[in-house]
Amino acid sequence: MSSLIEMDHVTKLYGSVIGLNDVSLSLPEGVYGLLGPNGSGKTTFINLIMGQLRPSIGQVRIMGSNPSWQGAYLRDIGLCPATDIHIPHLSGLDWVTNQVSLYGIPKRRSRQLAIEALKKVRMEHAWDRLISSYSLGMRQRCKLAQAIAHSPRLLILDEPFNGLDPIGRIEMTDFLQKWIENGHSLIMASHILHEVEAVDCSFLLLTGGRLLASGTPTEVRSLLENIPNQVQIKSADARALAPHVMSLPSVSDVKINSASDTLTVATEAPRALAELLGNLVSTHGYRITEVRPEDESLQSLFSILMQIHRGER
Amino acid sequence: MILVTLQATIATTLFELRRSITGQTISAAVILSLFPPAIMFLIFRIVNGPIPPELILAILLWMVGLLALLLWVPPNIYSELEGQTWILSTSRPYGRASLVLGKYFSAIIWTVLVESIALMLTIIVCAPFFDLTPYIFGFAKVILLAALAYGAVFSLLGVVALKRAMGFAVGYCLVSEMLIAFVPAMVQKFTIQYHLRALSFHWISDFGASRIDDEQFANFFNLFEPLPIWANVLALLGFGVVLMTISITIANFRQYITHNEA
Repeated sequence: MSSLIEMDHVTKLYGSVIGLNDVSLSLPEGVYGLLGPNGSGKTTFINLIMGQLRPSIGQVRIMGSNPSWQGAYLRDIGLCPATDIHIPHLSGLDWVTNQVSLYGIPKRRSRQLAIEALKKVRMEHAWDRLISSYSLGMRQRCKLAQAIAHSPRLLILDEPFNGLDPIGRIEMTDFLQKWIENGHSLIMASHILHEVEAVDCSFLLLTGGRLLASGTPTEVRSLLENIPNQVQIKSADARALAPHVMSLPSVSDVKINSASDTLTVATEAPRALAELLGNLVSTHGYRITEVRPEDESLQSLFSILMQIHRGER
Repeated sequence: MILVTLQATIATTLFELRRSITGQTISAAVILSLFPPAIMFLIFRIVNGPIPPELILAILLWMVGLLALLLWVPPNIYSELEGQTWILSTSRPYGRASLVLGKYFSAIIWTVLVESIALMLTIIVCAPFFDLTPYIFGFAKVILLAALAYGAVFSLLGVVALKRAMGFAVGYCLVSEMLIAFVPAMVQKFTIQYHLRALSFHWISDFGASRIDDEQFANFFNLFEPLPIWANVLALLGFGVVLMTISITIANFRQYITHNEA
């Protein structure tokens, strides 16, 4: 199977500013979260694969094509950019219809597809209103509608949760989950980790234009085997447990939080810690109510990788 | 590829026309359409001098055509950039070409429509004083060719200068069409107005030149060493084709940076 996206030592320079720095990757069809703080190169990454920008160094291919040619493969892609739309004097339906017709789809069919797409993003109540009267969240939904109306194979979303209220965020997450369930590919750029976490995806972590890590959260976690894992142990006998836990050679740090009866343990061998806890429960009768790896969330991974990148760990 | 580009171009053209139905554009169209009949009416009522009416009308329609294109092309490109919709249009297959062509054709339709209304109103208003009906088809042909050529120039300026397109377009009109076009040298043949003048002479009227023994006047209409009609038509169509090809090429290879990256 050919790669969805290939980058070969891609660097993008804006004058003397680096937008993307020596990124190489090969992504098969799938679901990817493009993560990174503001200014990390997410939008540059998207514009490079869409052919809006050309790399200063290296090569980019999307669906086997050079994106600079803006060819027929674009029919298989739906783009929802981060930039807001300001279109006076037009209704949402008219605008989405026009955007669909730019794929070379006849007007009547375009309107039909636009209506279906606007229904999917729950905009049926307002599609005949002027876009200038829409809230930010409604404009965001319109942008999503024009991206999905022609049923693309790959959906590219840049900060899709921007401007959405809590209900809108839930609806957007539900929509994306259904999109993935239907076997479509997705690339979603965001700087808000829990939004990406809500969608089951592999991720690409960008910082300062560099690709810091890629893979599923588990795969990336395995890269961090030599980095101390944070484990939280909740126990009414937290103080009594602490010296036992400290006796393990793989444990580098133990913190006791008396208020919440919690031990926070930094260990390079979580398995050894788990075995020790099992033994302690059976031999000493300690009551352990919860053992939770603190680093499992994407937020923790992100923090750890950033700390490594900055040389802090 | 050609079919997709064609369909997308038609869609863009219709979309541009559809979204132009605003109070602002309609007001502009009304003012531009009323300008030639109003001036012609005043001239007939107040001055009624020796200058042939069809010459005054030709100059007025030329000005209206330029103004209509100036009011259409640069703001259209600017609004696309300001509205951040450029990135969406250009992410369609061959979207850049169809976007540039769509805006070009919508500008031509708008300009020809405004000038045609202006011509018809002038003919009606001037009817009691002068019969302009024999000149209708001559004017129509010149109006169309002028719109095709000037539209291509302004589209190119729009693609190159983006937000500064209006300034560049005004500069072009002043320097090329009002200065270089009147320089009695080879260079004037590279202006659009030179060919429009020659065609006006052939298609509309001799504007009284045959009755006036004035070298300057004859020179104005390229009566000396004149190009054949077909050469003038070809030159104007050539302007359109060549400049639009350059515009599409630039649009295809240009990198458009969004606010997020700027």
